[in-house]
Amino acid sequence: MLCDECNEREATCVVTVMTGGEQIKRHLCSQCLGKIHGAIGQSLPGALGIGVGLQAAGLLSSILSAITNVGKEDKKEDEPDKMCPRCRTTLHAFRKSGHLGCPECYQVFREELHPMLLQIHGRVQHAGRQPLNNEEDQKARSIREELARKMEEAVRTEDFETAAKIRDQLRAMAEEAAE
Amino acid sequence: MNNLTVITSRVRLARNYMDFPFNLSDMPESAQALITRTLSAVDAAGIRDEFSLVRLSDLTENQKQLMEEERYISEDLLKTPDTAAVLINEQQHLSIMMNEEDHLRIQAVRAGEELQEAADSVFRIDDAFSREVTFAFDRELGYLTSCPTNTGTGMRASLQMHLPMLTRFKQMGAVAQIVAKVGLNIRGFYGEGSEALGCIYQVSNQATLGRTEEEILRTVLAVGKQLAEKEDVLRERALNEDRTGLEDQVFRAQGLMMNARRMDLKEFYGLWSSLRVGMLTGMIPEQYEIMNLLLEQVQNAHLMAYMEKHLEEADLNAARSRRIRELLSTEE
Repeated sequence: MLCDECNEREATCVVTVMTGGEQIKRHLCSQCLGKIHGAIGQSLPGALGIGVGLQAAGLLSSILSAITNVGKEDKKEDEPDKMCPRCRTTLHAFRKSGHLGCPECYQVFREELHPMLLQIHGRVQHAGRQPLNNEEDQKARSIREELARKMEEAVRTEDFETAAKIRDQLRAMAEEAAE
Repeated sequence: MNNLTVITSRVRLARNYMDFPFNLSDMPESAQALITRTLSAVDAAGIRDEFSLVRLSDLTENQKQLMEEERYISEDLLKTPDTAAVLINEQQHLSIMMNEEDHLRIQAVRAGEELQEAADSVFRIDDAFSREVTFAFDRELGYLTSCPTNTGTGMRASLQMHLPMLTRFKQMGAVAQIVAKVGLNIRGFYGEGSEALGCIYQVSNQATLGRTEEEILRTVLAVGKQLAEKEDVLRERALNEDRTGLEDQVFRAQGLMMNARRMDLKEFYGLWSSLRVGMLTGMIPEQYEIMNLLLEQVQNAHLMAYMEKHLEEADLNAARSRRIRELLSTEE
């Protein structure tokens, strides 16, 4: 089989990469693999051993930015295996497939996922939309409502000191939520 | 500004229910329960009427293929036809895939540079769901998805772009490196590996975590705009350097598109691109809508539906030529 990158030389290795949520197998010759390694070295300090295809022979590669090392199992062989109690997906299975088994896996493999997420996204704190009926939001909402009731009660009994404290607490909560 | 380099805009959201494993392809009962849950959610949210439900198991091979060519469903969904289903809103080109890689993939495709509009329509559906169901969500990591490459917003915003001049001047490698720096990805839309048939590319966000949806949309649109501007500059340059050469390419393409009697897809894409360059440079009349329509109508399943029979390759290529002539002869 010819190398996917240069289409000239015989491919000598298969590289599995994750990109855009898809798992892609690339057959590469050693020279193109070398180029890709070089590209990773320049653009991503401390990058994993696999993952970036940049242009070669003037062609645009289908794989362009950085990625996880899910295809590379051997590197993690000495790592003790973990299993999600809910769906029974193991850490090794996850590393192999690139897919988690269930939402719970995110808790179970959090430690291992963290560097991987950082590698893929460059950031690890979610920003953006949230479910409208998110449980934590609901909890926060009921706490807010409870505090608001207490504040009204305090105002009614002219306990302004308590009312002011609660008001500050509510403001802090609102600011936290806004962040 | 109407960005003519953008052919279509697409936004999709990945969403998962809290209480199901991600992959239900070998759990038909759970997969069915997920479809039922989804249907009752759209019912309760009052949006059931705008969708029709399609179970992939009820379709013929060609019907499934048609839906993929129309971009209502993904290639991935076709891999598990027994458990997959999709809710479709044709009017808004909106679909909710069920039992794909994630439980739900909510996506909208719009013609032209309408990324914000596409996003708004998927957000509307997301909000409707959100009131009725509990999605897997984590304060730190956002929406939890089967693959960590989608975690966070679960959003992929893409522009399908025609970039013939950047390709002609061999700038695409450099473009790829630049867009990667702002967390985006660019790749050929049609073709395999490093191919970008018809000089058609897909620009989309790579990173989904740690950026708001607005930030992602803004970045993709900004890059789209810059690429369009670069195209304009390079188009002028190409005209200045070798107008006759460019004209030759355009009119040869026109000759083949209007007269050939057999055409495979690969040849089609190349000629399609040249013809569109002719429109962008004012050499031939503009038919952008028909050009967009062509991209879909010359695909295999569409040709078979059009000819109302199964076709082998030689017949497909003949049907394709016929369809091209027919569509290009219609007035816009």
